Amino acid sequence: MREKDVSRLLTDEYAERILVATQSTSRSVQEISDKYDIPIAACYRKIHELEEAGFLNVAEIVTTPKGKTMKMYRSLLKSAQLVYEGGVFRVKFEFDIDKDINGKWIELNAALDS
Amino acid sequence: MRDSLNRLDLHRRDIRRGVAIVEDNMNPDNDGFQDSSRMLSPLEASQLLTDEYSAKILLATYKRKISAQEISQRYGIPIAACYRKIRILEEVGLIECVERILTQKGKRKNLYTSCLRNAYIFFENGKLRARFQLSTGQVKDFGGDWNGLDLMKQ
Repeated sequence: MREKDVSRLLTDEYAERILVATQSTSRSVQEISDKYDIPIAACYRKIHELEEAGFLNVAEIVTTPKGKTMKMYRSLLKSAQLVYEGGVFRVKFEFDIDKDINGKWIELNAALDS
Repeated sequence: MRDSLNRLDLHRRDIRRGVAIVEDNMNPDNDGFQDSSRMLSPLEASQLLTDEYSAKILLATYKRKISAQEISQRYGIPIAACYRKIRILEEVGLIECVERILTQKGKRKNLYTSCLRNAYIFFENGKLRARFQLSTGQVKDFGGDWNGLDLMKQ
């Protein structure tokens, strides 16, 4: 994952809310959309982006009483730190799984400065 | 001049939010959160920084005086969004208008500069915390405990 992608993901109001929503419990897209006031289409799109970037995965697939299957998403992000010091933005992520950016400080200025 | 402008601005904010706002310099011993930003949740506070435009505006105004127009052009922020974000950042005290100049066309132009020295946003165990340190030395904390010790661990 490149800095630009990290910065784009992080500097997005929905992505942040989705990650907070799925931190301790797995939730369906509908639930996240309702609870965190995210338009449903944007919610699906963002969740897929987060899933592709490895921030989220499908914890379980449940079947509703109506016979519809529903994916329950859960955040894989253990912790995140965003630090702004001396005019420089940096982020660090820790994941529950092995990932190349685990625990590394990533500078965001170059991505923002364009 | 500057003073009357400030008062006007404060007055305007009072009306909009319907609350009394205590000016920080009137009471230097306050906890740093006697103003409008007291109402922010940790998520709202952190989104002041993680919002792409806000982050760009904070970079643009770092140790610099710059107008909304220039920020908009330099960082590719639509002008209306730029004004809106500037107003939000100004209301919570992360940037301030330091100068009002007259352009050659006789238009007034506000120059802004960032008041944010350091910011920390931590997301752990599903909890979000944010700490802003302003150039005035004021510290604004949102959510959770901040004992200062965890800042050393990074």
